[in-house]
Amino acid sequence: MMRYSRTCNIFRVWRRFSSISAESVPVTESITNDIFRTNESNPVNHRVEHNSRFYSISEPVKKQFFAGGGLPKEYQSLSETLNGLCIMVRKPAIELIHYLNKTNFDAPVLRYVLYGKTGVGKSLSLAHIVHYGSSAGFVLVHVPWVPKWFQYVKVATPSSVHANKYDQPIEAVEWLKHFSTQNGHLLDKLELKTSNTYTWSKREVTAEGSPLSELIDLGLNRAKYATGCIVALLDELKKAASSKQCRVLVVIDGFNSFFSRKSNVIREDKSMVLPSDFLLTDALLSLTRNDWNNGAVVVSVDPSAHPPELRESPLPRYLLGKTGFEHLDPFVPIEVQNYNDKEFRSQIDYYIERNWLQQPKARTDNGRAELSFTSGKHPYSLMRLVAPY
Amino acid sequence: MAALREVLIFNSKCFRGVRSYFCSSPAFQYSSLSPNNASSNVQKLDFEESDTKRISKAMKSYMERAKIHDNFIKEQLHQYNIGKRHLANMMGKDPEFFTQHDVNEAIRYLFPSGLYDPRARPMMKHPDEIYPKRKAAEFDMNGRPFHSLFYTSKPNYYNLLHDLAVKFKQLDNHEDKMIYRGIQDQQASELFLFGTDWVSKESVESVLLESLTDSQYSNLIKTMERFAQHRYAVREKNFIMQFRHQLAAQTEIQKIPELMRDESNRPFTTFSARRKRSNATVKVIGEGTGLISINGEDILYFKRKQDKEQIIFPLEFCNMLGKVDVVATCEGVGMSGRVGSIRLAIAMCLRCFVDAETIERMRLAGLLSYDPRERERKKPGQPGAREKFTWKKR
Repeated sequence: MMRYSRTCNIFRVWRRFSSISAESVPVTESITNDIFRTNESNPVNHRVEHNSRFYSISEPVKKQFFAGGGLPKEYQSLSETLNGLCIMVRKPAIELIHYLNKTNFDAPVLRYVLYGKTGVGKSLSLAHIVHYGSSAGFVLVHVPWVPKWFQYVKVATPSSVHANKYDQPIEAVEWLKHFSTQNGHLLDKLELKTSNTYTWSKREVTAEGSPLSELIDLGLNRAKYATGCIVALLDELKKAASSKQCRVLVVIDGFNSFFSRKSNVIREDKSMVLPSDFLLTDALLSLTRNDWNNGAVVVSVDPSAHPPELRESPLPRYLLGKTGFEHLDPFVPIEVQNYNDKEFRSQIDYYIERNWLQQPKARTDNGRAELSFTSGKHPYSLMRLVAPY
Repeated sequence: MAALREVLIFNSKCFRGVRSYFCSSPAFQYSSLSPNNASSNVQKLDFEESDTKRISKAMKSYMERAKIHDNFIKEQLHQYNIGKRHLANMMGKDPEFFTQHDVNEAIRYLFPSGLYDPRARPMMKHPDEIYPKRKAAEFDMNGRPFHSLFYTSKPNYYNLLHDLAVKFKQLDNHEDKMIYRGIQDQQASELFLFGTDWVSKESVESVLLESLTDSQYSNLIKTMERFAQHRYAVREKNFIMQFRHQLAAQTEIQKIPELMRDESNRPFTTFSARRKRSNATVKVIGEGTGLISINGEDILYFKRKQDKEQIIFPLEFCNMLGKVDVVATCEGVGMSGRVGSIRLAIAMCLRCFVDAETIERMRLAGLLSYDPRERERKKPGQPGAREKFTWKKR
């Protein structure tokens, strides 16, 4: 680690940049001696040249954006072992960054769908986009893993806001905390205000024109109204974005879970509560509709977000089903594939440099060929292959 | 070996006193003196006279048994020959040129059998192949054995060892002569033993018509081994070769298939293999980049690490990991069986792409041999194949 920081110090280039119009600033790339790393730690500047290179995310950044989720658990623990979170810059993320930089924010929001087999790198690409979004000045609406809201619901109560829908008080509070951690400073800066009055009960009212942070605080303190707060919050953000007060980036991992037919909540009459019966589903589906502008929606669909019976194909049309597909259509599909040769080589180099691969054979071409063959160049399989357990 | 056997097998006329190969002492010393015959020098071969008077009960019953057996064999042979002609007629073939192979084919056609063991299926063979050979009469009319070593109970075996001792002496004498004459004869005796191995115990038993214990057999082989290592053993080459059999060359057993060419002129070869109720067909294409496809999916078709390692084993062994493409289809119950069959098929295909030395290394590594292990049957009265129910003392 010491050697790495020293090399970093030699090559580090300090730059100031405007967060919104990133594309206009020329990029002077600084690459270390190690060809699998890049010093460019601002994702706004990531281009094709940075492909298959690792960029590091500092500890405070990681805590701010991913404390409430967003990084796969195993990857997170591995990064703690390897002494620093590094994410590989790959084609899907670069493609998305390019599109987001070039978006016409006056047009209705574009929906991007990342798809691919389980374990191929979608969540990490989304994490990369989350980091980008914040660096580029977007307000982040980030749902780290949707199935957690439906497969492992702790408590579900009938909604106070909507008659036939269900609340998830604990999950809602958790998410509001995550939202405020990610966006706290930005919200203060933007000074967004509510456009409606929200009456929660006889005594609790959020008046029109009150700052959004008040709405969030109410949700954090009163779990009963947390879900309602989220609905209101997302509604406000949509309006604010459309009226050009802020730019919103919606990032949702496991979007197809909204359209799955299972949850772990069962009513007294033994009937299952479907994801479509939850209020949060409505809120997020409303946000992912293309009836607003000045924002972007990046979503991933994963077979593992569905129960085991529905995991036959990784393709969006199958995973979203008819309702989901019609909801998202038209969208930009972006496939996330297995590692190509360059990315694979770079991943192995990283593991070797971090002393995670300790056999001398790993450094030889034969060893790399063996790893490549046995893992099928599948990112998750490679990680499990070289794991010690 | 065949020559030796011919000498040992006699027909039924033998017990009339014809001198055998193994008879070391002349019969006339032991022939019975007929009371009417005064001159003892003349060899009297009129056993007819002494027959009726001196034959013992044991001898009589022995002769009867031998006669019955002989007649039986004759009858069987007659039946066999007639049966062969009938069979030829049935199959519409020429009876004169109806070989044993044709007989086997006919029997297989007329009596189709689903039995597992080949020995349990119907067969029609020459009586010599079915009924075990018996030794000819070992003693004469008066019960005196022909062979001097008869009372060792394995005369042929011990006679063989004695022969060896005699030949040893002869070779030593020859060597002494050579040394005396000053001739340095460098006759390499190992050369003529190459590619052959000692015959098995069963073969020796069938030639000597005596059953041997394991230690007797190993004693014989050791003696022959020492004999073959003599400097001038090559003089007794024919004798030694009677006890050696040719080893089939590996290259003759497994024929390496030809490399074919596909549309894009890339060399490829196909092989089908089995393992444990599963089978696989694999096509290995040269000039490749290390792609692998199993039933249309990539290597992650197999979820377990051990399965993936099985597939990689032959490719890594031959250093062909990134050099060939593999297209496999497999079917059958069980991942382990499928993986084993794919591995064997890949190894068999790779023979076309590597040199002879690597093929030999593969063979030694066990990559080219079919694994015959199957799931053992569950037996009644037990929960599994070997597992027993809890044993209760009372």
